[in-house]
Amino acid sequence: MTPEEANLGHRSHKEWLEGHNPAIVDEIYAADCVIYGNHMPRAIRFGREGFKAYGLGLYTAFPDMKIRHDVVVTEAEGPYQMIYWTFSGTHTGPMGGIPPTGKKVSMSGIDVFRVVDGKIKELYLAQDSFMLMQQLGVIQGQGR
Amino acid sequence: MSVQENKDLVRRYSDAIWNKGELQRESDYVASDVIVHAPQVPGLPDGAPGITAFTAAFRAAMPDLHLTQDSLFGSEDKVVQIWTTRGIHSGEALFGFPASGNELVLTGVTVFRIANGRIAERWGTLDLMGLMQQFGVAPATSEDLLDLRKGWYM
Repeated sequence: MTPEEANLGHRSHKEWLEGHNPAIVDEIYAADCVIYGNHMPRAIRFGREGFKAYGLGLYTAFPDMKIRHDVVVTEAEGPYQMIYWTFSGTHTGPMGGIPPTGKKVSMSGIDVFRVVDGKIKELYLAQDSFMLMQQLGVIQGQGR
Repeated sequence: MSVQENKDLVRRYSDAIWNKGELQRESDYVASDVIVHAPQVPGLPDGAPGITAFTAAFRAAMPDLHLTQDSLFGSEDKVVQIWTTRGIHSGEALFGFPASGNELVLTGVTVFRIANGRIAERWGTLDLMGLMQQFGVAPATSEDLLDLRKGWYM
């Protein structure tokens, strides 16, 4: 992929999510974009408006959110890029039906972007939301 | 090694360990000092022993376990595998949940770094929340449960 295409994942995290700027979605995601990720409601997995709602939910719950890139694998010829990231943030806003807990959370996860004609068309999102729910005290368990 | 050779190694590793259950052959594919970055699964050890224990628990719970590679790509010394495992929970209890006769579907992504013909480092995530939904201990609508059965492409 081109250097511009290889920068789309970075822009998605920094400009859209950390920057609280949904206009970026129109610029870097295809109109028929899809998120593959089982833990996400169907309504926010399809198309740019769904994505914007997903992002809004995330940076409303964690306004100081940061996504650190730990490992990046970018195909030289093909359409895929993988980013293994560590998310951190303070839960100071509502998250769906969960009121703010004030807790600092951290979780690792993987985004795989498939880029077609200069836009992100598919995003595979694999994250450990079970552990996140434990950190927030929503689910009881014996995680670390 | 080329990207193609690295991808072949990951493909052979998955087939031998996950699909055939040849856990004793792990050292053919994995370096003895492998570095593991993976979520802590309750009840399992950290690091490389945790990966082996996880695979063994899955194989014991689902004797027909099968891993599908939904995508496999690489660059330089790394390979990324997007995967789905499916199996009927007809064997041992899994994480304390007894066999139900239901198919369990789990999705995840694993990143491998290859050095000297072996897996030297790996980073992984898996949809533990989806598994807990299938066990009925995390909230899920009937639509969520149908989606989970489809793996990645719901």
